[in-house]
Amino acid sequence: MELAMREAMSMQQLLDQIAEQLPVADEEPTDASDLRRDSAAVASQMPSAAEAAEWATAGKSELEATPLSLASIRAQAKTMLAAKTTPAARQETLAALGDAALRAARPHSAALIFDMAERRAWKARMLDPAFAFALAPTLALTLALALALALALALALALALALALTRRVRRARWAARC
Amino acid sequence: MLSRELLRVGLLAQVALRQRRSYEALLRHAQQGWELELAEEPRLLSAAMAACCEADWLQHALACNETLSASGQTAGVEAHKALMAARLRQGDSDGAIDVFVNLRSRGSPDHDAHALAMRAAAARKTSWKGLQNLMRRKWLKIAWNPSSANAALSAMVERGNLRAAADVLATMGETKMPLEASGLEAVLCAAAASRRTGAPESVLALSALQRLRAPLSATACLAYLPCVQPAGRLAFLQRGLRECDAVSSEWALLQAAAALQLATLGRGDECASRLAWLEDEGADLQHVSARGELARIFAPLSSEEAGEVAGGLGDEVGEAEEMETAEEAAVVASERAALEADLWLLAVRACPSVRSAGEVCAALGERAPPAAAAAAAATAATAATASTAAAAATAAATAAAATTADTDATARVYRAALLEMMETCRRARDADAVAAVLRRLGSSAPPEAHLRLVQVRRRCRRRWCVVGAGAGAGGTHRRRVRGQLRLRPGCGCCALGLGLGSGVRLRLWLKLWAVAVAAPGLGSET
Repeated sequence: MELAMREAMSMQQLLDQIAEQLPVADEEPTDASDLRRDSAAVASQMPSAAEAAEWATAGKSELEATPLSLASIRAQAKTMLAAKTTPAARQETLAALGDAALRAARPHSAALIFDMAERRAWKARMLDPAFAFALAPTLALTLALALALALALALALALALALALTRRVRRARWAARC
Repeated sequence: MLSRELLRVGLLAQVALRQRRSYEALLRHAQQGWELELAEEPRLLSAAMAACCEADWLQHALACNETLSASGQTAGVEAHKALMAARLRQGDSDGAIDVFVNLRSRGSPDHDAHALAMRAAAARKTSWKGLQNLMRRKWLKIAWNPSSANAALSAMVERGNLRAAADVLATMGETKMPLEASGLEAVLCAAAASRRTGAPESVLALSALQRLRAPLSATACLAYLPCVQPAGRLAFLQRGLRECDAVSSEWALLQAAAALQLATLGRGDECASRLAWLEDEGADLQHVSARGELARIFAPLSSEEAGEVAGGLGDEVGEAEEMETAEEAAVVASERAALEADLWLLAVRACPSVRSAGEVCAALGERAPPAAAAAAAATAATAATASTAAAAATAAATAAAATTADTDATARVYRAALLEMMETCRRARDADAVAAVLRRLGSSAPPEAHLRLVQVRRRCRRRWCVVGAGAGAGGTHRRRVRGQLRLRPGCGCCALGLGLGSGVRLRLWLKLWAVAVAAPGLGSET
């Protein structure tokens, strides 16, 4: 208890020291004792009775969707993606919107923007002839490899069957001889 | 081709949502799918590194740093500062100083970096004189500027070293270093730590902060909130909301605080609509208060509950240890922590009555997957005919729980909210409400949920113990129930395991048989 009292007093002293060092404004108290006496400084921060009453009955009126809400972002992103500009400019605008969403602590909105933009970029890439040409040899090679593998498997199977048949025939002949 | 800026947005969004696997997959995809050489993208990796530090993913942050270093690049100053801050949060002051020294060797760090270094140095010293000697060392050289001076003040105040803080303040006065909001916020937090309404120290600290004419930050607002009269807290938060920028992370934190304050006032439906609005706005309700500020203010766990949570976490740790990799265990642990910090859960916990908790759960149920929502709608109609209003609210709230799939995040939150609501019902000694929640949880109810009913409805203890033991899906659940029952010497079910007399045993066998008819699956237990 005594320790707590001492600590409380130290905090008071520290606050007094702080009050002395703070910049002095015209309408504000000049030292800690004035500050303590004059509660107006704190009262300006504290809610008034009217405000408290207003909030006590506050409803849902203020809860309106902002431009960074999920629905709004989806609509904006669709409009941007449909705009007839270069892909680079489109992505730049979307990135700016995503940045704004991240700064406003709306990570779901930012993730939504990225998803939509990435899907579009991937689709555009698939339709790009250069990418398709670049992909064609790889696809052809993959197909050839798959075909070769299937042929090899078929050959191996045929060989195994032939061997099994030969063995059976030999056994039958051997049995017939005996 | 995907632009770097867009990729940065995607990476930062994944980190902000704490989706570790998606973040890693995106990095892989950028490198392989989009053929982007990440090592040659210092801006992108620096931003990712800073975000990882903010999320306390130090391993990932260091991986970004290593990637850049390996290709002869360096991360930006912001990334280094974020790394210092993350190290400080983890209590690794030496690590933070190492980063500062490294930063210093590559260029001149800015004021904020000096401030962070000052905080790290203050953790090593108990007096201002000692700290002064340390900061003047040749290998460290922390500059004396307003940021570092205020950092020294706040570090000393945070450590409870008020004598040293007063010395720092005196030096600041001598060298004409102005007091800044960061320094005074720490003083306010320390002064308001007692949480007494209208405590003189906290009032003085707030008025001192006001004299700076700077808008009150969310940290300061939340620190002072417990010292405000309960009737004025909502309006105080509204003031804070008006002052802070609507496009900032502080805004989301204060909105969440306002929602939880509504919950503490028993205005469950208003709280729920505010939370739903925040969710629709794209805020992440699991990580708005990642450092647990809101949980500490609005929904602190009692010592008994904290023990139970610790026990639960212990189980999780045990399960996590059985997992194949440490990475999986870390993911599970982080998911569990995120669920514990979910605002819906905190709101239910903050509700003072069963009715308000029911309203929050009902709103959450409406946002749950369609199957659960349909069940909610179907049973809400039957609940309307219930005798008491509280029972109706409870039934409506718990209606949607029909065997929720654990894989779905919303369903998981909903299930956890129902369990939290059960706690509220238990505190209110409302056995009917507990039973309603239990029924709605169905087979997904953990054994602890059955024990809650046992605790509330003493007369049915034995029967419900047995049902609880049988309801658990796996052996682990049954063991857990048994473990808890052994602590209850009056409980009849434990008699079977403890070898009581034959008469008692016969009676218990008969009872168990009767219950087994009603609840199949008890054969193995008996």
